[in-house]
Amino acid sequence: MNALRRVLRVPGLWLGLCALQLGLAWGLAQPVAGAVRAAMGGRVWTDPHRLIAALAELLVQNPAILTVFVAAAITSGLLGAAIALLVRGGVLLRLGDASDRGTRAWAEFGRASLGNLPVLALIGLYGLVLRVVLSFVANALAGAHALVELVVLVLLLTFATCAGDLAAARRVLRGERGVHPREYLRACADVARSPRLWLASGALTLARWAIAGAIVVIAVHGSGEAWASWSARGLACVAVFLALWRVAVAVEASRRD
Amino acid sequence: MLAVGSRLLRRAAACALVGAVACEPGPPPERRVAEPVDPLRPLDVRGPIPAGIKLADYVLDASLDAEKHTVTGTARITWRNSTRAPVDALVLHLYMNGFRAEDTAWMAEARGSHRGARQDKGEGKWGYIDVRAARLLAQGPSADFKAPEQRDAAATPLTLVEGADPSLGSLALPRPVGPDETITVELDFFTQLPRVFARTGYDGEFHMVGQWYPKLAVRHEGGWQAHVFTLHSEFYADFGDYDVHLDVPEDMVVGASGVLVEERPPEGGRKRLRYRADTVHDFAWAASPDFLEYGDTWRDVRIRQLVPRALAGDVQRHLDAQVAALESMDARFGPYPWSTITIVHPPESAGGAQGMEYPTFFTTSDILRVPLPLRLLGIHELLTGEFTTIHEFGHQYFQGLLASDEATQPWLDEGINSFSNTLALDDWLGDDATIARIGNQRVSTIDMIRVALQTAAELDPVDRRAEDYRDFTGTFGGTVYRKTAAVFHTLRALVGPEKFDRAFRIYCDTWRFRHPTGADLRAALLREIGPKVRISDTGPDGQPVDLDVADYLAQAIETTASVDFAVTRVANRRAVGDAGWRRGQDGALALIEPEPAPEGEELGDEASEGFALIVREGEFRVPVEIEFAFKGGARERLWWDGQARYRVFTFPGKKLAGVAIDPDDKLLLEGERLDNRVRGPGQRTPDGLSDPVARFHEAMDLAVLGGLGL
Ligand SMILES: [Zn+2]
Repeated sequence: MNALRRVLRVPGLWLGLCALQLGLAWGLAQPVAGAVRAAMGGRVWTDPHRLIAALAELLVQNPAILTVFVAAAITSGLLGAAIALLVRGGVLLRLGDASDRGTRAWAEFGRASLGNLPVLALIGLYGLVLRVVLSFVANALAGAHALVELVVLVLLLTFATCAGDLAAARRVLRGERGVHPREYLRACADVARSPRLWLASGALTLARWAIAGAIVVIAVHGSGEAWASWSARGLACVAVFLALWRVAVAVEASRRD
Repeated sequence: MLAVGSRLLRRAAACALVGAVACEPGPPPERRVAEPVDPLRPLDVRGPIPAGIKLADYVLDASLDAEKHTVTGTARITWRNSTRAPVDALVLHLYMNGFRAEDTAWMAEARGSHRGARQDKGEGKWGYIDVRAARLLAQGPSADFKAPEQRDAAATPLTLVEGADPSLGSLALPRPVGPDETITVELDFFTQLPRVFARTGYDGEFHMVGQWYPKLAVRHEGGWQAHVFTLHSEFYADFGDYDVHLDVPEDMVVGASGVLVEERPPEGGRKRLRYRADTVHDFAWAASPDFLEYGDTWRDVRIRQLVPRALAGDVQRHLDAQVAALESMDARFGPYPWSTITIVHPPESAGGAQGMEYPTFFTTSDILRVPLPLRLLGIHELLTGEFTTIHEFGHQYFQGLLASDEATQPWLDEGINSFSNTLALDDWLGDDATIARIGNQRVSTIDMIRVALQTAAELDPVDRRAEDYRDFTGTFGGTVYRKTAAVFHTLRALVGPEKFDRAFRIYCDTWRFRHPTGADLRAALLREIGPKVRISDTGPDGQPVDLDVADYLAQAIETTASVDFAVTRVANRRAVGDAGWRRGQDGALALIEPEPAPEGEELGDEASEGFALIVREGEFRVPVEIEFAFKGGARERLWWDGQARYRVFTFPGKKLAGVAIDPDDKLLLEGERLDNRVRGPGQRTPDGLSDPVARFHEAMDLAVLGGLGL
């Protein structure tokens, strides 16, 4: 069973995660809207293409709004990471075994998520350390050439993501303890020995980053316009799908162990 | 993670830059056009030059030492006393001495930095000018003393004495120069250029040679108008003809004021160039072996750009801006009189030399390199390059041609020029031109001016001497450049562009090749526009609304009063009805019962009365237009004279849905615009800002989470 089919067999998981992500982003935009609305009072701005001038004036009068902007952005980043970690166990379980469990599914999802949380957090921490090390490696390898360094860094970071996925899949699906760094390093070695795995996972990671970039481009070109919001939401759902697919690639690899 | 993230971002930016530069095409091939023969355009194009305005002629002979970055030369100055009193000493500007030591007036105010750059200190890095000898060559009634054969006849040694600030010096004369008498003096000078700083100096082999020779101050009836060189005071001098001989290393490409009239074949690794600039009040030049040359013409005007190789890709954009400026200003302010304009692009490492004007010659600034990924965001801006070219060219009019004293009234120079720049941009790109764009958002010329008004423009009035602006307040730019521009844009919008433009053209025509003051400009406008301009025939009380032009200019230029109107209250209430005891026709009181009617917003239109409270929050009194929108979509516009502190507007039988002050954006002087539009009670119309901001924020969240961070 290939990785894509694993994702397609659990549309509910994808839709649920999409709803979570869209809800989070929308919810955190509300305090921002509220702060601006309150500051505007009954005042009205009519030129949708000269918002920079309006915002500049508003921020001079109400510098506190900037704090709301920053706080909302930081919160969304942290909450996003926390939720991702929280559901990671359940996601791996569902991708590993998509058979219909009926009402038991939620309970199993919850157990897999919470039960594996501490170890998966530890694996995440190893991944963080690895990324820091790899960024130094990229710097050393590339010498002074910034373009070379970026390419090397991107390759190495996709490697870290892939290794983290594999280690997590082995913990959740294969019952490996996953606590000792040796197990994490073994996952790294396996990824290094399997270029096809690294390539598949890396391509999906890069695609997801490209989608994130596309969202930024659309948000800027369609600032404040409904089409841009809906496009961004649609693309975000694609990004969730790509993330699940990438995790499924690691699940598939862990099966072959 | 953050460390990795920020490193990654830095890398990405660096790579994008590398990529963008790598994709940059090589410099376009150089192109030359013939050197104009006459420094002035033909008489029938430029018009006559007023008689008697040339008071100071210069013959400069200078040699550049490109290793030591020094200029050694002689200046032969022929000056005519046009005042009614005899003059017993000549006063000279020694501008370069402003950079001589930490305690000069210039350096003390600037504390050694200019536009964010610091001056290098040490041997060969401070700038100074040393006048080593001075001679009186000739003196008498209006003879032509320029001829070289006069040179050594009866030369009398003179002594130049530096003033308390070394940027001024005075030359005592053995015999006073009588009214209408002419005198010729010759000075041997040695100028050490500073490392590029505050518009002048060297950077490697690039040399920008400005304010480099001893230069006469201006004699008024009351005495010498000679300003100590300070941070904000630029230059002021009489018109004259310049005959300049430059001796430079053979490989130097030289750009200068005026036109090249002679180039001798190189000898011993050096070449001699001779330039002529007619009816100008300064002379500057730049030299570098690394310049590429691009010549173009606009009508009969030669445009010459000198560009380092790395910036050569920008010449077309600068040329487009230059042509747009010529088109606009030649038509609006009278024919550009000179046959040439030279644009020098200082190398990227010599940013301090960017953006400075001299007659028929200016330096511009680099166009911002937008890295490729940012270009995807639709970033485009005219501020860093094109705007500088338009601005510096605009000085050919406002200071080059209408040669106001920019030390006493800097607003006539920088301010009127800024006003002309936005007109040129609008002529070029359409009204309220976009000067920066990102995605679907734009910043217009109006925004650019307005942003500055909110912050700094309220500390100093427009009409102040340059030296009275303190660096510490940061008000010079906001007040002199932006507020002045806003003052004249607002006046133009209020009296009507046609009327204003006609009056302004008359000012320009009257004062070409002269030294107009602020009073001259105000008098011209007042005369041509008229003391009162009818803005509206029917004000809120039925009487007409007029603009008092003199009062407007006095408030705008002499005071720090700011224009600020606000809608502070909009409501609908029950109109006065006819219920109660009333005396009938028979003389007896009769009770009329009130009609049962809902309250507040539920009221029907006829039973309602809309009212709005408009407050003049600023001290500036000026007529303002107000648009009232009613339920059902009807609109009504009224002018209020803006004299009282506030005014209540009532509309019996109508319900207000919203009020907009200055709906056509005429009062550019009003920095705070957000409180100008207010919706009526119970209106659900969105505020126009909170939704777009939230949408943008949400999208950025989605980008950051990009798959819930899984
Ligand atoms: Zn200027």
